[in-house]
Amino acid sequence: MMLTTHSRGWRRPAAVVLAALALGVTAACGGDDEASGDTVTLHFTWWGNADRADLTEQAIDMFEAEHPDIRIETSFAEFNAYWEKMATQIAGGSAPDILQMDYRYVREYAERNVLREFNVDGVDVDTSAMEPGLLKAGEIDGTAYAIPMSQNTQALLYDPAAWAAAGEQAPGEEWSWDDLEQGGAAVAAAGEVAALSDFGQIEDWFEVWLRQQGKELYTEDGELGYTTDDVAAYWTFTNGLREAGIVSPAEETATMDGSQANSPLAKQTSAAEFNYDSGLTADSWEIYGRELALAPFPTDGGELGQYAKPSMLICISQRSEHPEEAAQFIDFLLNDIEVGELLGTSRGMPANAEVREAIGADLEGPPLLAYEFEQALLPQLADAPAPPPRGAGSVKAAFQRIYDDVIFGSATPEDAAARFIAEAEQALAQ
Amino acid sequence: MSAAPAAPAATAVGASRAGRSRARTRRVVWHVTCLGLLAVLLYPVLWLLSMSFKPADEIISSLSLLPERFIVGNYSEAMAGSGGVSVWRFFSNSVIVAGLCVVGNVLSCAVAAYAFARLRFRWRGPLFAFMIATLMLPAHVLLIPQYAIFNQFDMIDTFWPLVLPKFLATDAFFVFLMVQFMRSLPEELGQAARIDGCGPIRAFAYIFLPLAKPALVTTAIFTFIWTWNDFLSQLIYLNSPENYTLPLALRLFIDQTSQSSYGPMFAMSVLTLIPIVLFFLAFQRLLVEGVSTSGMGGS
Amino acid sequence: MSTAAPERTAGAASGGGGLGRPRPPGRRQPYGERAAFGYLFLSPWIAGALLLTLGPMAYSLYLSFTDYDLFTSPSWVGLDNYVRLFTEDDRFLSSVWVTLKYVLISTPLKLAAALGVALLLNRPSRGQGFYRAAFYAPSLLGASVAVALVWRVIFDDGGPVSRLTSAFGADTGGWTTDPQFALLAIVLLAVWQFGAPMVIFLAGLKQIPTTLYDAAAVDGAGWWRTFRSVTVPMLSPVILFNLVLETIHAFQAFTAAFVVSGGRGGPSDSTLFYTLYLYQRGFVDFQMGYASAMAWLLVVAIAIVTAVLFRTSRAWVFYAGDAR
Repeated sequence: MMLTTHSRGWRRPAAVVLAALALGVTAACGGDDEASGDTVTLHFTWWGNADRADLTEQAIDMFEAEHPDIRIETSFAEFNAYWEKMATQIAGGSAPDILQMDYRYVREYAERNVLREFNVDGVDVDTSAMEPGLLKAGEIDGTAYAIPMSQNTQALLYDPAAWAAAGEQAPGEEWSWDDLEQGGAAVAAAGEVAALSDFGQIEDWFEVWLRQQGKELYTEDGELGYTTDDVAAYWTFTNGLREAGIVSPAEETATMDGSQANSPLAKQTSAAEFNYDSGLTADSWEIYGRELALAPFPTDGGELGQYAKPSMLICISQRSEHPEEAAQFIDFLLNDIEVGELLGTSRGMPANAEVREAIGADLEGPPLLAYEFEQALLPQLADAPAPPPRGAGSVKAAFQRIYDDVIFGSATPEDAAARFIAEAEQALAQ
Repeated sequence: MSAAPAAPAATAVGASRAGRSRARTRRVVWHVTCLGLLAVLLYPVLWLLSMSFKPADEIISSLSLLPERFIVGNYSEAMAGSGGVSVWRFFSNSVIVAGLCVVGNVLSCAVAAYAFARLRFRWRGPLFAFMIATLMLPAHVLLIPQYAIFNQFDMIDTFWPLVLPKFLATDAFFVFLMVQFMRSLPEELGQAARIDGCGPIRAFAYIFLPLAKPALVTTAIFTFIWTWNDFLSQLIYLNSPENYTLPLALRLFIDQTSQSSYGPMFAMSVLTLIPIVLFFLAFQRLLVEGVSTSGMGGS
Repeated sequence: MSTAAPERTAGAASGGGGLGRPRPPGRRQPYGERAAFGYLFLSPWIAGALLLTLGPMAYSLYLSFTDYDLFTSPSWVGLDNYVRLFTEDDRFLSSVWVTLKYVLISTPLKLAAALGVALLLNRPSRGQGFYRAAFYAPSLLGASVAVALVWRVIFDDGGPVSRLTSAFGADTGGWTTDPQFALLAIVLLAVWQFGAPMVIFLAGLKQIPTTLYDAAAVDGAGWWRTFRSVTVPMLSPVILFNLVLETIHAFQAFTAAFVVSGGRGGPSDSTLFYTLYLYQRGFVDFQMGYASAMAWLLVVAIAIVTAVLFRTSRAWVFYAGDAR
């Protein structure tokens, strides 16, 4: 018979693979010297990009130099991946000591006993340099479970060149929703692009609109703070703008997911977009392909409805064995001016007012614009609402999904609003 | 239903001139067909390449294949690494993980497949059914219990959770693949081995393993590529940046809450492709040398 | 649930396990001492199953009868999750529908493309290695964010595909953004990456003894007859493999939909695949009990389909290694 088929050709690559592995095993197994003695090791996880990673590592080096008995080990991922990993880790029995937190998940995590209270048992972080209104975003019934790292606020990001066509009705300090509609019509008529990206699908902008009417997304009991009529009115308004060609068409709106790649403003098919001012980063003009400007929301009454919102918060895990050291690190990260200057706006505008003013002088380009916009607006900003109830994430997703049916014409704003409220109540009940 | 081979006969080859020119025409037609299909298939790959030379705003807003402003800066930015860890570290981590997975899968799946395909023992049927069933449960619901197990073993933030399962033949896909190949090797092989006094172990090592080479090579290629591209398990089990692999590094370019680097992301995607293309080119050669060349079959 | 569904008990003297066609009885002694070798060879797999697979599978089955939010202990709710799935969850039903459409369209197309190209490439010729690599290239890419962005641009309104279709007089607009076409764009992404089944077909084709083709040539069989009476029967175990695996993969399709739709399954839930919805329930809404119930329904569905495929395979799959 023929047993010669395992020829030379088979052996060479196999040998290469084995050699690579031998190298690999030694590399992977070496260098894991567990710090001994009195050294405390803390695990700190966060989301963000490579730039943020570089600066964070440098900040940690500074902290470790000051505290030789504490070692910080980091882990980071991009936003969506971060949350899946976090949930798996905690459910699987190994939570990090310090975790970066998003506003919408504070209650989700705190009410399930994942987060530790601040300012008890020596777990202290100095928050005197932060706005009390901002701190509320990390508090549940007056107890702090998360501390803001940075703040931002709602804004309209627009292309001033395109909006010049709107004349009087261009975005500015005091402009109304009527101005938006009329100015938008002028912009859409003048150019080939939509005046604005459709804002009917984002719950965040609906919230500002609600607050201008004295309502809230959620009541103190964690129930919906608005009715079917409110949603129907909002969607009738935005859908009308779409039918008039003022906001982006349905196909484009349906793909908006918060990423710049799917933003009509970045794709240059619209001339303005509601966003958070923290969306402006050093290379924003390169990504948007032109220089943009910022304006507050339009408003019909005196009420602006905007508030300073933490773009990210920081927490200590309930299961951390070294909460005091963790608090020390957080205090250092948030309050040390030198570290603040190092980190700059890599996590958005710092929540600490002193740090913010210290770095403000060195900013340039888009971040400077955001800084000046926010500093000027600060007196008008309201307190942040308490963290949204459990299930709020599903409500937000449903808001966007069901609006798709409105713009693709498969539901009237009224029917869609009724369906949305039903789904939202179901999500909150669970 | 089998096409029983007739007695071997000399294949008559008409070597006339007309025959040769017909063969040439057919060869040309074949090449044209292949290239035509490839033009369509590789068109998106061309886009991927061209995106890596575009500035950010063009990536997002332009609908033309060729860059208006051709830049190479994306590549140098992609190579900058992140969090103080160099790109080479990500590369070598990926190579180690993928390499170990290849060895693990080829060895363990071949052994298990041999048992399923060629040995007879109690519970073989139910065990086989269970193996197929493991393919059916979506990975997302197994994530947490499996994480808890590896956490018990203190293996988090090492390569073990990525590699160990491969040495334990948990990849039912490849077990099943090899079962199908080994079962289609002629029955006479096993008999001949038995007559020569080979036990199952020697029959496996000297007859079935070499003859299943196409399946082994296929397993090696797929394991390498799929591990190379796998994101979820590497995300879950690796914590320290110095243990990160390429898929993790690649995702760091796009974070919806911070500045997104689309250009470098595309550049990195292209760079990431190079090792797997090389791996494929190196190993696909082995697919050619099947058993078909030697005279088997015909009783 | 046994997928191979043996007709006889596995312990019967004929030893016909679930592996397919029965063996003629009495040709060999039943298990005897050789059985030990079976378990010896299977020991790594058994260790893996006991250690890493069986426990988590059983646990997820248990979770499907509980209310489990990931962070606090699961609480038993009986069949509640299953009842809710069928009675009060429209999105569940629409995700089933999306997935079925996807399975039925993408699996045959992908297999046909893979087999077609494998047959095309299965001839000794110069440049064969290049062609094989080039046809495999799309599959090297996986479903990354970069691929998703390329796909969006290609199928965008005014992009290459919509320009092509409008040249033929059909104005389709952007595909990934239109509820009518978004699923099709993802189907095409799956079909485009037909490299894996193609390579498996190629490996299978290599294993067919050339003597069979020589014999067919002597008999004067044409291309089609040779294909039907030599290639297909000899390739049938591999065809079965690809059919079963691609079907299972299609049922579990996740990554492509996740990256193309940014994890949402939009527009208007038109690409809300079953596993994508399961993921949303488990990891976004923190309802892992509900997600586990969905997972086990999927297992049952896939098991039924797989069992049917295996059952029919007895009629058309030919194993040279089994008794003639």
